Amino acid sequence: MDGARLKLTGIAKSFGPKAAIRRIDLDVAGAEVHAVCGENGAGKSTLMNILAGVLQPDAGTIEIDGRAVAIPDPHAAARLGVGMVHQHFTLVPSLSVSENIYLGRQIKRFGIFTDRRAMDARARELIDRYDFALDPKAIVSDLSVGQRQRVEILKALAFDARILILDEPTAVLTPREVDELLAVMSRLRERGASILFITHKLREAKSVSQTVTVIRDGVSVLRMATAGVSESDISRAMVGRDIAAPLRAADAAPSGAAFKPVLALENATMLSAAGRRRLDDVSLVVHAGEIFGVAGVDGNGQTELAEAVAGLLAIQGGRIELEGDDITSLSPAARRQRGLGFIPEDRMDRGLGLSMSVAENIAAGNYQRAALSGGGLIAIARRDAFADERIRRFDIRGANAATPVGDLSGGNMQKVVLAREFERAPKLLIVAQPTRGLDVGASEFVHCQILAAAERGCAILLISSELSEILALSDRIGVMSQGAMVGVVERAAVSEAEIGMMMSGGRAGAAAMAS
Amino acid sequence: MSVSLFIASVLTQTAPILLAALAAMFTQRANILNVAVEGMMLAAAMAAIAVGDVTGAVGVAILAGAACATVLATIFAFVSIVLRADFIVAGLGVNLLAAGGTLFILEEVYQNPGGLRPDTFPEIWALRGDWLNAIPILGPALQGASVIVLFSLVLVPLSWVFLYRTPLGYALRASGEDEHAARAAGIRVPRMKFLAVVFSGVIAGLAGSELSMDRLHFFLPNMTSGIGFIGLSAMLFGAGTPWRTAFAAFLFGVAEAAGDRLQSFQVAPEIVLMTPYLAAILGLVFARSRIVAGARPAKLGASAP
Amino acid sequence: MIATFLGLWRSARGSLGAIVVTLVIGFGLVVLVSDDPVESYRQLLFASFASKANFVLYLNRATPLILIGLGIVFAFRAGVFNVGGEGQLYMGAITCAAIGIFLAGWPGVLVAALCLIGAVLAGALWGFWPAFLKTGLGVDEVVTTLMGNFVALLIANFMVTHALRDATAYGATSLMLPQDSWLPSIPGLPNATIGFPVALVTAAVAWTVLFRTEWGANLRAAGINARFAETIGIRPKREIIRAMIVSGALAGLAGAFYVLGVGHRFEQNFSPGFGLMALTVALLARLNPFGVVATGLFYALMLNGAAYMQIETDMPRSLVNLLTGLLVLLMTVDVRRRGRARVAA
Repeated sequence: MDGARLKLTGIAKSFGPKAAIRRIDLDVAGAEVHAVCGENGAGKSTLMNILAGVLQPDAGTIEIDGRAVAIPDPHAAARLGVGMVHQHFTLVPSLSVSENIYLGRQIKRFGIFTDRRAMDARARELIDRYDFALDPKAIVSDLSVGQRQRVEILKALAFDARILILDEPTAVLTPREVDELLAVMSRLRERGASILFITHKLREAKSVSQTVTVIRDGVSVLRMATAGVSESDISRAMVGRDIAAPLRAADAAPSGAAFKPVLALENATMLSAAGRRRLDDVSLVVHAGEIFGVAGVDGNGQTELAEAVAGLLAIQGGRIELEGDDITSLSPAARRQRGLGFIPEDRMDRGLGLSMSVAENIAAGNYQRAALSGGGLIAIARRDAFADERIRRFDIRGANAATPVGDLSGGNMQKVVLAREFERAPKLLIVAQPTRGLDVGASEFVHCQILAAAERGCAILLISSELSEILALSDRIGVMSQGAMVGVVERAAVSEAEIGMMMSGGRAGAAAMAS
Repeated sequence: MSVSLFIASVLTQTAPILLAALAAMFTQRANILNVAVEGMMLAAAMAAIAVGDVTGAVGVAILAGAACATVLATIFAFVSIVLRADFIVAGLGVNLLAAGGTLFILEEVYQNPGGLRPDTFPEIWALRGDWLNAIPILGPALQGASVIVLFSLVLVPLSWVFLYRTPLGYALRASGEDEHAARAAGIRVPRMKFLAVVFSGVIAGLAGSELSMDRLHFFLPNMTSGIGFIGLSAMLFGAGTPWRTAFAAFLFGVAEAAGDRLQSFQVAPEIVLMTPYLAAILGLVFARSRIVAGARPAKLGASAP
Repeated sequence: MIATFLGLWRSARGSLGAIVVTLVIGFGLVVLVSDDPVESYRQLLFASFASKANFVLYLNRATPLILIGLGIVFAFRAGVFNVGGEGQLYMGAITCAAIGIFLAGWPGVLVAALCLIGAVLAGALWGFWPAFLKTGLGVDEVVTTLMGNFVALLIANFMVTHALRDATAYGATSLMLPQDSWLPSIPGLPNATIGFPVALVTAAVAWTVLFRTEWGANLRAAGINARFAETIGIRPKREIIRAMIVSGALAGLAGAFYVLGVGHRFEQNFSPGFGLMALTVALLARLNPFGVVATGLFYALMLNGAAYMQIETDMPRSLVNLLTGLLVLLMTVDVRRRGRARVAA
């Protein structure tokens, strides 16, 4: 095809001293699905925001259909036929489907009033054209995640987007919804749209795209026809080296007398205010020195599981036992007293007090245990020395005891959380999404720490939406789907494909596997 | 007959509360709790009397009140949106500025800290006419209702239409509910917020003018005595929606009017005066809008050595 | 050592800047308005030191500002926007007056002690109920505490015009409290309330509690990030209630010191708005207890000086009220610069 539909040359973008994009070239043909792969922080989202008009590049040119263009704002992007479907939905919950589609560009009656009837009609037209099965009058807050995503896509399509950008669309979908989405993408391509498919899920990239571009550390490093590369080729380009083999030895978990249960959940059930089962009859046991991995797509009850065990959310049915004692009605403080540690999935939201110092964050809750106070007063010198020692041991960069934790990078922040929790020598450690938002080096460090804790006899409940992480670290794996634990398997006895089936098929999938 | 009189006094008491509540509603939809309504009203009340005294023209006085409140609103908007300061502290600052400023002008310009009482003052235009008596109950109740009172009644359905049936209203609601989504839709969120605050200044200015000019014709220091905050409570009770807010404002207006009636029953004036404030607190307990988003007093502090 | 000073400087420079700008603008205003601007400002800033009597009044004004300010520091740092200092002050003052008058025959020391305790409890109660509404029912505390100010003032007015009224006195004031229950003055400074040194000590205690005890660390964590506090095992709601009780108690104490130590009676509307002024003091001090002493002393200086300024020159004392508003606005401008946390990915 002569002349690409979308051509980016020499794009660069920095935020202050940090270069998010150093040099990216991108070449997208008409009527193709073009996968853009890269790790977290590689620059994919920044690039897409530039195309969507949300950000402006510091350097480089953008050409659409051979003509150089500038995209100063989202409206301009829409006019040029670029439609962006964000990873984090940009929908106003209290408005309807059609109101969201036409937000900011409404059809007017008499110039001042919103013409809702016309908007509903046009939305209905669009929905039918692409076979999306939505009600234009439905309020967005009532829709499921998959449905909301379709509304996002409609937003892009509503203005004749010929270049559609999908930013990590499958991160929040169940495997069945993923297949539906991939089918939609193919349908759109058949109608002539060019689709930029941002993902780090290589299987999906392979299955639906014609061309793949890999971005690593802000630079585009690979551009090939999908048919000509394997998944491992792509991942090597993304990471710069081969992905490491599983980190946990197959027989690392203790056996015999040392293998005693530490955490036991029996039929734990949690109901939402609307009566929906956020946790559905979950039972599991984690033993001392064992790493129990909980796999599943984000949003299937993992957060609820972690917070229920930590005592931050209450369960309406069932029991939780710690070393045989019923802790179901105990407060988080009491549970922590008994040896529970928790590394929450969002370190900035739950894990840290950002404007407090490193020393205060590490000492929080540990004053009695680490003898940092005496006679009611905190021994400052001792607290700071305590912090300094942990800073050294956990290699927390860019900090001393007095540095406000919010000044640190993501990886170092996570290390502060680890320092605090590991300090307690917990008997049970709940670890949720430990490497989310971290670069490769920090992730490796965190994995080492988790493994070391297990070596010391700590029972670890590891919850992660990164299946590769679960497979690398776990002894046993439980899969969550729709709030239920649909199956528990030995890691050595299962393959990634089988787990995927359990994630999508729920209990039925697990049963099919067992037969 | 006395029902109509009661309704009439309710309307007069309610109008400033209603306008204050509606002013706060617009900013609330942009996710800003406008605690500065009180100060804006106070400044407007004084400006209206001062200008009305000098010019003898009611219309100019009302405009002056609205303009004065709008100036304060612009300061509030600038400090809290452009400079991104904490909007509660900024709002309190505006209130302090208004209280201090009006007192200062009273002492400096008028040499009278007790208040500004012009000997003669023009009457605000009010609805009058025998034809009103033909309408049962409501007719006589509207007898003598000032133009601002009438406007406040009309503003309720108007603001409903604005919020729910115009593109600008949608943009405002989106800006308050989900900034990210609004921005992605191309809406200039800071600009929307700014406009919402400035507009609320205009409405608050009308509230202040009504307070000092309707039936009273004078200005006293701290004359607003919390009406702005009561309006705020009404808005929170109504979850920022026009009709529910108006309903709550009326309830508080009834509380005030009833309080006046209680005076004749030998109840101590102090107890009587408490009624609207207690009503406001009660209203907040049952309000739909809960904790104010984004208010974080702890971040105003420096960490100690 | 140097690092500490640098840190202090960085925290303080915003407030200092705001103060300087406000004083400059104030001076500009005075130049425009007054016939003798230099004398006006001289009175404003220095009259408090002109004589012992002036100095005494200055200290007496500083005491409630510091005490209420300290209370606000506790509340704000725990995450509660307590704007009800004025109401808590009045509740403490009226309770103190009521106890003192009703127990008139009892031994003086006992009466004084009971008055103080009663005032503290009353203030604490007035701080407790908005906190209860907040933690129990999710009601925003800004408007409730503001409403509480009005209600407290009316309660106090009611008491002073009915039950406690001194019919012989001019204006609405209560009966005098029994002489033997009056608090002693600072030795060497007749009529200077003993509350002032108490306020200084309280500041030191407050700082120690906030920054050198586990409870203080927990309270601050709850204010900075309630979800984080929860995860650690702290109960944010409990911290909020405790902080508000302390906050109200300190304001109540200020009220007691005023009634017992200064006026020896309750005068209607005795407070020129100490509550909101203490808010300004606390904010200027960046919620640091020792800072509150400094800013409280500065603010009282202006407040006291304004009275002399009005007597000696043609500048009205409400200049200070005007400047207060300006000060708060200027201060919020800098606060935002600190508020923008540098969040890394």
